[in-house]
Formats: sequence, C-alpha cells, structure tokens
Amino acid sequence: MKKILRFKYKENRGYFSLMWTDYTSGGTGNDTRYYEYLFFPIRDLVTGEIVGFSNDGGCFPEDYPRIMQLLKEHPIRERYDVPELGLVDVTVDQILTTIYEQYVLAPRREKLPIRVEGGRSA
Amino acid sequence: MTKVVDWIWKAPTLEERLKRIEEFLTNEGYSLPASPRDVDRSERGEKHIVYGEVWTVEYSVLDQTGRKVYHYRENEIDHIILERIDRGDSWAIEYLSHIPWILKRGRMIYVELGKVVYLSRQKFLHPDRNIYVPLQVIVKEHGERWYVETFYPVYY
Repeated sequence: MKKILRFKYKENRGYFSLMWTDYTSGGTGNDTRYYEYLFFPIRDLVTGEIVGFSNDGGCFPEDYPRIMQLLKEHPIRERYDVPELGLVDVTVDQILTTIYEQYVLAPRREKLPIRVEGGRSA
Repeated sequence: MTKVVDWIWKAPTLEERLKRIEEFLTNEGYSLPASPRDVDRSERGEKHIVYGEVWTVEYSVLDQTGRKVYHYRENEIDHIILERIDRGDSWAIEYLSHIPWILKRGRMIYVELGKVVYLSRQKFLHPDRNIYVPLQVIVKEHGERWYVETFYPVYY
C-alpha cells in the first residue's frame, strides 16, 4: 500500500505541503540536500524515512521548472497517493506537475480573455 | 496533526488561534517561545502589506550583513507555528526566539536574489527523541523589505 499524502497549498505565497497522513512519530526535518532550497523532502529525524515534501521559503509557480530539473538529477523513486489531487500510485514529479496544472496554470487560464468570432474579447 | 490544526484554524481571530496553540502546546508539554532579546521593537504594531495581506510588525533585527529583517506576528502564528505543529515539530516552536540570534550569528549558507538561508551553529535537543538538531531560517524580500519567511528543523 502506498503512503497517502495530505496536500495543502497556500496560493498567495505559492507554498505547498504534502504530509504522510499516517505519520505520528513527531520529529521531522527538512532534507536540504540536492534541491537548492526550492524543494525539501521531509524526513523523520531518526529513521530518515521520507514523511512528506514541501517548498518552505519558495514560490512554486516560479520555481517549478527548476524543481523538475533537480528531480531529474536526483530522483525520488517512492510512489504515493494524494486523494486531494485525485492521484493514485504516482511519483513526486507527477504530483508536482498536477499541482502546477491545477493550482498555477488552471487559474491563469480562467483569467485569460476569451476570444470570440470577429476578434473581440469577452 | 490535521485535527489539531483544523481546530486552531477554526478560531476566528489571531489572538484566539494563539490561545488554542498555547493550550495545545501546554498539553504536549511545551510552551510558546520567550520574547527574543536584542531586537528592535520601535516599529512594533506597524502594518505592512505582504502577499496581499496585512501583517503586523513584531520586531526587526539587523542580520550579520546589516540587512534589516522584519518579523511579522501573523506569519509567525498562522504559518510558521502551525506548519511546525502540522509536522509534529512542536518542540521547535520554543526556539523561535532564537531567530534573531541565528540571523546575527548563524551561518549564511545560501543566497539568491531576494532570498537568504541561515543555519544555526548550535544544535538543539529534541526532547522526545534525544537527538540534537540544527535549525534554519529563510528570509525573503518583498517589495523593498526583508522578512522572516520560515523556520524549520533540518535533517542531516
């Protein structure tokens, strides 16, 4: 069974958090290796097990392309379920891409003026 | 910790949320951070717009480069503290009072346009798991002001 991650997104600051719902031990730390302080695996301080992800101090809409590049260079192989995003058995890359599509691109599309026949904007 | 955070969020005002946080921390055996020393409180209570929200200055501090960094009450309570609780890191909340010291005396380990990361030189005891953990502070620039964006324990 995959770890289920609880998703949270603060749109005004471009902050996301994905936490393992069954994690109860307490005592986590951001793993600051590899991802240039744009993206953090959150690990149990003692076991080192990944219990979540976040982009503390980052701005996801701006950082997304670089994070994806860094994840290609330092991939995370584990797969997760994220019910709030409708995702089952997916990689972190897929989760971040879905967040980007749903919370960054989709709102931008909604704000775009709709072209109607004759070239006038609605 | 979702239920606790949800319960705190249901309090309609910042002060009521702080009361619930205090109640929760007391039950967990922790307490709210002491008020930090050696900071400038001359602008305390002033309002700034950050991320489209009105935030209240708690204090400002000059970091090791002379950069003036604001610390906002709303960000401390509604973001930093609640995120720590959400991740089960209540123990680290008491060390929020070390932020000025980390900005002044910590190691500046990462700098990019509009963002600086500081690492505490000291490691702090996690009381339940009996390990020592360094803390990091990220400050960011918004408009023409710098402010404390976040604070968290580091896995190493």
